[in-house]
This record gives sequence, C-alpha cells and structure tokens, in this order.
Amino acid sequence: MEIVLAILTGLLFAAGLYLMLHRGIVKLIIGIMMLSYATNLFIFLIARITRGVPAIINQAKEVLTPPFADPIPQALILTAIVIGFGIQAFVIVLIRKVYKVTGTSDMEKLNSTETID
Amino acid sequence: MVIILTISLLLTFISIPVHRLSPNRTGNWLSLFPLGIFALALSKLDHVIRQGSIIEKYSWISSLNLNLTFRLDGLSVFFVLLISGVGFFIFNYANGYLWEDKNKRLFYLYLSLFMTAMLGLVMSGNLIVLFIFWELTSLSSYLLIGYYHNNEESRKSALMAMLVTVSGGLFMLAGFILIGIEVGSYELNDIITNINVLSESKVKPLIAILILVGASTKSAQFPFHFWLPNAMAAPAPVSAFLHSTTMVKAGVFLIARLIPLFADTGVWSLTLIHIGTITMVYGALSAFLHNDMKKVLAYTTISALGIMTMLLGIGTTTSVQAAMVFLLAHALYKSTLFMVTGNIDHEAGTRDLSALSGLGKFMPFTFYSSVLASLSMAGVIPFFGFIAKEILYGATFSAPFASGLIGFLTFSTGVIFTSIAFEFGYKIFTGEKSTMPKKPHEAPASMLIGPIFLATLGLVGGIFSEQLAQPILHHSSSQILNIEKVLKLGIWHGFTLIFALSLLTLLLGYILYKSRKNILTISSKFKLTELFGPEKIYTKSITALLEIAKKQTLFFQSGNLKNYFLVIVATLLVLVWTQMLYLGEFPSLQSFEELTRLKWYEIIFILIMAIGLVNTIAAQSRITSIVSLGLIGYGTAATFLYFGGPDVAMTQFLVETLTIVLFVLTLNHLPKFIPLSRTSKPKLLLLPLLFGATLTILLLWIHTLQTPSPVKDFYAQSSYLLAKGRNVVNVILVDFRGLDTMGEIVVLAIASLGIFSLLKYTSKNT
Repeated sequence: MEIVLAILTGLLFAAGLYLMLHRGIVKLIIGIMMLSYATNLFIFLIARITRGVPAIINQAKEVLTPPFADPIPQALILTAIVIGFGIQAFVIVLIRKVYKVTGTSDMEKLNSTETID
Repeated sequence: MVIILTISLLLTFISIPVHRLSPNRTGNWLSLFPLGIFALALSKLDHVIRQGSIIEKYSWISSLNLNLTFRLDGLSVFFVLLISGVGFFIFNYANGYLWEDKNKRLFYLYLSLFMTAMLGLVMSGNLIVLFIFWELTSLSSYLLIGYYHNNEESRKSALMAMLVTVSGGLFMLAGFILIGIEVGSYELNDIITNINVLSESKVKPLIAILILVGASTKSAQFPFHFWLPNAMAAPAPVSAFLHSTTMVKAGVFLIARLIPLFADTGVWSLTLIHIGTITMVYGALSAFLHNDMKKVLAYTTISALGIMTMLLGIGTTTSVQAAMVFLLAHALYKSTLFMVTGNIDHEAGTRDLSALSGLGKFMPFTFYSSVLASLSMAGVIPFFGFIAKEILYGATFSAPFASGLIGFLTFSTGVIFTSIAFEFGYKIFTGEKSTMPKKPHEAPASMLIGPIFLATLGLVGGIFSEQLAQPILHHSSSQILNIEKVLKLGIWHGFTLIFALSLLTLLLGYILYKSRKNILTISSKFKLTELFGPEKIYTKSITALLEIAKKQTLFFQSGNLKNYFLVIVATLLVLVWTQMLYLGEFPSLQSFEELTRLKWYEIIFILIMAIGLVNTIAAQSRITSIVSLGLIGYGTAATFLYFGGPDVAMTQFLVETLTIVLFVLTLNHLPKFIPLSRTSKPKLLLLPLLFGATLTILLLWIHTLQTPSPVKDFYAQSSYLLAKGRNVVNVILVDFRGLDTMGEIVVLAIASLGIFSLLKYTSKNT
C-alpha cells in the first residue's frame, strides 16, 4: 500500500506543479490545492501508516499501547487543512475580484502595477 | 575622561535648541563648549605630566567583558587640546561662513557629533570603544561632507569618504578582534601589560597589516588617499577641522597609540615607511599640479600625513618626536590655510590659484594670516614650521636604513611645500587685482579670529617653543615610545647641515614657484592629474557592484511567478538529491515487499484519486476540473480514514465540500480556461515529473530508515495522564499545542476579514 500511495503522492506533486506553471490564474489555484493534498499525504506517509488503529486511548487504559497511528502528523495535517482552507477561500475571492477589476486572468499580465494614462 | 565626553555630547543635544534661541549667533555660543573642554583638558595637563595617565573605567557589557574605558595620557591630552582648541575657532568660523545658510542648525549638530566622536576616539582605553568612536567619526564626516546635499558631487564624495574609511575600519576591527582572541582582553592596559603574549603570537604580522589598512584609509594614505581631495566638496569649516586637523589624523593617532605593541614587528615599520614615503611624494607632486586651492591643500595634507606615517614607521626616538612636532605645526598652519581659502572663496567667489591675485588690499587680515601660515608651512625661521622642519630633516637623515633616500625625498617634499607656500602667502595677495566673480572684501570678524589666532600661534609658538610646545609634545611622544630622552625644541641649533638644508629648501622652493606656471602648462598637456589611479578602481568597483546587484535582482526577482516556482523547485531538488546521494544507501527492492500489500477497498479509492488526477489535468472546463479535484480530496480523506485518522478525514471531507461549494458559487465570476502558455506541453511536464519522482523516491527511502520517535511516545504516554483526554490527536491540538491552534483560529479570522473587505471593496473600475 505504501508504495502505491508514495507513487500517487509523487504524481499529485507533479500534477500540482504542472498546473501551477500555467499562466491561467484558476489553474494556479487548482494546482496549489493539489499541491496541498500531496503535502498532507506526504506528511501522513513519512510517519509510517498503520491500518485501522486511530490514536485513541481505550476506556480501560490510561496510556496508548502500540500499535497505533502516529498522532503527530495527524495534528499537523489538521492544522494544515484548516489554514489551507482559509487561504483557499481568500484566494478564490481575491481572484474573482482581480479578474473583475483588471479583466485578465493571465499571470504574466498581472506582474506590473497599473499604468496611468 | 567622561566629563569631557559628556560636555561634548551635551553640545550635540543642545545645538538645535541653541540655534532656535539665537539663530545668528549659534556658532559663537556653541564655541564656548569646546573652549570649556580645552580649559578642562589644560587643567588636567599638569596632573597627566606629573602623575601619569588618568584612567576611568565603567562596566558596559559585562557579559562580553566590555568596559567603557577612557584614558587621558600624554598622547590623548595632546589630541584633546588640539581638537577642542581648533574646534573653538571652527565653531566661530562656521558662524560667519554659514551666515546665510538655511540648514545650518544641522551643520552644528553634525559638527558637534563629530567632535564628540573624535574626542571619544582619542580618549578610548578599550579597542572596541575605540572602534565605535572611529566609525562614528566616519559617519559624522559623511554627514558633514555631504552637507550640501542637493549637490550630486557632494553626495558622491560623502559616500566615497564613508565607504573607504568604514571599510578600512572593518579591517581594523578584524585586527582588534584578533588581538582580543590572542590576549583575551580589549583593554589597552591589559594588552600592553601582556605584550609578551602578543609578541609570541603567529598572527601578529596579520594583525599589524589589518590595523594599518584601517589607519591608512582614515589618514588618506596611498592608495586610499583619493577620498580626501573629493571630500573638499564639504564647507570650508569642515575641511579646516576634519580634513586637516582632526579626523585625518585619527589614523596617525592610532598608529602612535599602538606603536608599543608593534614596534618590534618588521612588517609594521616597513609598511609604514613605504606607505608613508609614497604618500608623501605622491601628495606633494599632486598638490603642485593642481590649481584649485582646496585641492592643493588636500594634497599637501595627504603628503603631510604621509610624513607623519613615515616618521612613526621609522620609530626612532627622534622620528617619533618629530612626528608629534610636525603634527602640531601642520595642524596650525593647515587649518589656517583652509580657513583662508574659505574666506577667499566666500568673498571673492573663486578659489582658482591661477585666477587670483592682488587680494591683499581688500582682505588685509586674511592676507596677514595667510602669510604667517605660509611662512610656517615653508619652514621659515622663527616660525614653528621651521622647528618642525629641522627636526623632521634630522629624523629622516638619521633613519636606521635608507636614510639618504628617505631624507632626499623629504627634502624634495619640503621644496614643493615651500613653492606652494609662495602661492598662498604671496602670489594671490600681491600684484594687480585680477577679475573675480565677486567684488572681494574682507570676511566678517568671526571668520578672521580663527585664522589670525592660529597663524599667530604658529609664530609665537616658534619663538617660545621651549615654553609653549615642548612639555606637551615631549610628553605625548614619550607616551608613544616610553622614552626618557627629553625633547628639546629651539630655534637656533647652530650652522649645521640641517640648517643649510633648510635654507636650500627655501631657495629651491622659490625657484620652483617661479617656474610653476611653465611646469603646469607642460603637465596639462599630458593630463597628469587624470592618470589612472586608485580612484578609478573605486569608481569602477562601485559601478560594477551596482550593475551586479541589478542583474542579480532582475535574475532572481523576475516578477514572473513561473520563474519563482522553477527556482524553488530546482533548489529543493538539488538539496534533496545531494543529501540522498551523500547518505547513500538506497532502498533495495526486497524491503518493499511488505509495502506493496493491498486490500480490495484500498484499490477503489486509489482508483478514484487517479481518475480525479487525470481528469483535473485534462479538463477543458472549470467545472470539470473542480469536480475532479473534489474526487482527489475525498480520496485523500478516505486514505486518512482507513489509516487511523478519523479526525483528519472528517475535517478533510468537510473542507472539501465547502471548497467545492465556494467554487461553484463564484464560478460564474471566475475567468474561463483559455490556453495561454507558449511553452510546449512535454517541456512544461519535465520539471514537475522530476519533482514528483524525487518526492516519491524520498518517501520510499524514508520508509527504509528506522527512526525512533520519542515525541510520539511522549504523547501516547501522557495524553490521558496529563491532559485527561483519550483522543490523542485532539489532546495535542487543544491542549499540548493549544496556542498553535489559537494562532490557527486567528489566521482564519484574518482570512475571513480579508474576504469580507474584498467583497465590500469596490474600485472605480468595476
């Protein structure tokens, strides 16, 4: 399973970057989102994965005994997902505004300030 | 001597309020401060001479063993007297010179700051303290040279002076730090007591060179001299103060201060003698070839500084004494001549030597001071300059080696000085009045007391040298060398060879003055003054630096998002691969056996994600790609779910749904997909594939490593015991790392505020 997921993660990274290299602004966000999936998976995978044992302490016990899924990457990913969402929401609205104001979605036309005529 | 520094610092702070109270007499009022410092230093003089140096030590940064140590000994009291004494006249002079200037309050501020820095420099008893004051003088001189800041030349010169002296200062700092490492203290006293430690050190020659670079830049020694003629863009009082008497002598002061440490280092004295001699000859020749009075004075100052450096390098008792005597003589006549030049520039509107004559009738007092100063410069009996020249010739002709050559070069320099003195003291004031931009008239009183007093002092000091100058000069030079031989100053030493040389100097100087015009005509044909020199190197390197900075910025900051991504990814690839190749040990295929086991339901969501992936990339419309993206998101969530992360999975499902809703809501307002890229698809795919492959390999590689995770075990152990929570992930988020979660909430709040304001904001274009 790990090997398949590792390949999939790599593909997600590749696809994300590929989309980000495009000039269209919507492709850019989709690329960034894909990159963040890949990153989350990456973090999840480096800590080794275990099937079906969440890091929850049994009612009868006081400490967690192996095997259990590593809670640290999960905590990190949770934070990443939430913050990622905040940024996505902001960026989507920002792009909508930029497109409305400038009338272009071409990244290469957006890299200078307005020209005053 | 903190009290002296405090007075000077107080002067810095009150200079602007005083200007507000008395805008036309600021300089006069402020000059009382240097006068007070002069009196104070004078009152300590007796104590210093009789009972040795006064040392005051204040703990400053005790953790670094740094103290604010100040010492008033023979050498520093001499410099304090010089700085405050000349400073008094300079403040008065500035009052007249800048009469109509609107920004003069700033001038007084800078000038007082400079004086404070200079006083601190000469009184420092700790190398680091000395360095700080040293750089402060560079900084304040930058402000003073660039005082006419609306003039580009002036700004450039200020920058040049600062860059040269500050970079020299950094070399010096490196030398100081090496001393600190070797000796274990920055206190001058400790270093001198532990002189053996330094003498045995292997890096001592290096330290000597580093410190000499610092001293040479400050004292305008060849090849760092070029900033000084350019610094003449400063107002006349600045040139008279900084560039003849005080700041440029800081390097000489430093050398004198450190002679006890380095006198036995061969490279020290050799370098000093070479640099000094070259500078002396070069400065004198350049001075002779120029016509701008200030440039001429600047080059003669360079030459004079060369003489002092050379004398300190020779290092015999006589030569060190000669250096101090010459330093005083030079300070007296050179600051006078700078002020005279300022007067002429101010009242006649030009300072071109060839265009001036017959000024004597209009400016009698200026004439008087200029004649006296010039006579001292030429070394005419009984002026103080004469005494200086006698002892100077004596020292060079008795130098331990190459005395003939050094003596001859010094003699030639003396001849050139004399010829220049004729220009300043005779040519421009006598004869028919030439045409000048302004109708010349005498300068106001405040601009005359300085030159008159200092020039007269050059005469009186010569006649009564034994009473006036001998004690302090003897004491300052014996502070340098620890010598017992008493310095004897006097006018008459009998008909010696040296006296004959003095007379010969005057005669040859007169002949040279007479033929100067012809020599200048010839030299201007060859453009001698514009020859390639160190200044060109400076200008070229500054231009090159700016050019490189520009190219480098344009290269890295292209403003093109794609390039930024490329740079970031390429950096990551290089770093990851070098690390992996460095560590070696690539995973063997056998170790993957366990990693390839799959369950049937896992195949399903992996397939879903794969389909989503392909679809997102291939999609031609926005809605398709967003829905496909959703598939990947849900697939990721499922992965989290099956591998023990129910909380993560829940969040991911929720966020995924919300994102899609958000996209769909704004879809109509988003731009459509239009093919924009010019790069071909395969080319565009290359780097992403490399990137993805690298990360896959990295992941697999990590899986073959065994790394213990103490943090993981800590949370497993203490989640319930310490935080009373059974869901470890939740406990981490809300308890152990609760503050992080707070930050996360803040981020969300800011994002929503941003979204709100974006939606509210309407520009004129919409």
